[in-house]
Amino acid sequence: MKHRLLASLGSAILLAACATGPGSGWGEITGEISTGFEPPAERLTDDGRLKTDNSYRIRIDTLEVELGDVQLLASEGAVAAADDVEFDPADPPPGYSNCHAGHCHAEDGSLPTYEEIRQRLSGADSVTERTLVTLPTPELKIGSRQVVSVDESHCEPSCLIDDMVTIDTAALPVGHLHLTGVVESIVDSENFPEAVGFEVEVHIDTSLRETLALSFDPDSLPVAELGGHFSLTPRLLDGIDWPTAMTGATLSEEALEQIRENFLESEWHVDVRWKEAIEE
Amino acid sequence: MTDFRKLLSALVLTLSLVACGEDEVHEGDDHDHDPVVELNEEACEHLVEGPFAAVSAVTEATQAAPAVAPDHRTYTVALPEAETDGYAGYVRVDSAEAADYLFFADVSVNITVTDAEGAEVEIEESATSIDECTQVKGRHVVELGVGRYFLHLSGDSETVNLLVEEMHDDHGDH
Repeated sequence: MKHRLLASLGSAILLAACATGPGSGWGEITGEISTGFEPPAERLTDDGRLKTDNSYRIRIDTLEVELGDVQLLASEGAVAAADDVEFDPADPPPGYSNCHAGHCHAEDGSLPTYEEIRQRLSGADSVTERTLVTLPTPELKIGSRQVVSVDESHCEPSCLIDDMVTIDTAALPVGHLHLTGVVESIVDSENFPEAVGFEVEVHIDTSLRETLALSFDPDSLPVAELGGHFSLTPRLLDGIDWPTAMTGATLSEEALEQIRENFLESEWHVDVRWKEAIEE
Repeated sequence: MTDFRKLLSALVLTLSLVACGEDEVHEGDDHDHDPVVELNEEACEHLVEGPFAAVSAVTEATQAAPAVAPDHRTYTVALPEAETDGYAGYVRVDSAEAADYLFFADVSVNITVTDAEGAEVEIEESATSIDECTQVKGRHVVELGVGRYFLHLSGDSETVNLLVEEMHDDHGDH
């Protein structure tokens, strides 16, 4: 109780202080957002082609992934304690099956993450989300990490957080994936005797979500430094039986769905470090 | 950020700590587990309780060989009759990362491994029992790279319950 009174007193005085002029607030967002497609050495041949788990070798000529701006979201309404919900991927609840690599197959055909399933089981569907800040996402490139620093000129509407609020999710919207390349088999020369060019367009159409607990309040340090990184999985083209999947220069619906499912194993992670001030 | 705000924040934070006392959250407490023991225990559990998936091995190392995978399922592998004595056949493993793979069997079975180009891969360790349970009659460790591998299973049994595990540095990420 004593703590609450002190916090309320502090909040009241701080609100008054924040209202005195622009540039002040409860806190500030800084840091960087990065993207990359950097397969480890074990995934690459000597000449830079991608190895798949079923022994195909793929030269990727172009790779475009439509990534939206990162959205920092705050939940509003009665937030259920999703962490308290019992959920065992080895024994998924009714309506879900084949849980692996962080997601399950739902009866409606979607691929919800474990966190999303916990949210649904907790009855938190009624909770609405508000986008507080959007941050720029750099274009994904093959073989190198692209980085954008987050500063006031990049945040929309602002890097300053004026509310006493908790940001609980960093969402990275993903649209489509476009890929061209040449595939060759080292194992199936009978059905796949020579290298073949291909072009695929895959609609990912989802948001990758990272759970945060970014509370801006009197107890928090004023600056939250974010390190957000999207890493496209090197497993992107695993599990495709190319001889049966290829229809002309593109792939069957089943194979495109396999690529989409593989894509969802990509890593989207956000580290948070609280600081006293932004380092110049 | 104004000095006034910093001062007030510090004041509130200090007083809050005095009022509440130490309230540290211990995240990521390190519980040391032996990954080998964990994998052995997991194998014991899955070999007894499943879930089970039935596959039929084939007589040649071709694309028709059924897949077995480190997916926490026990594969009940039906072996065709061998040309000489006993039963023998091929299954395949599509390896997504370079790692040690462990193959657990509930009957005595010989295992040889070849890569996609037909080269034999060395078995690093073989055992006919483990300390954690009596169900395991064969445990074989093989280092695989990324790609397709073929397992040749042979022995006196027509069926083999086979469990595949992948050894990670941080085993526990299921």
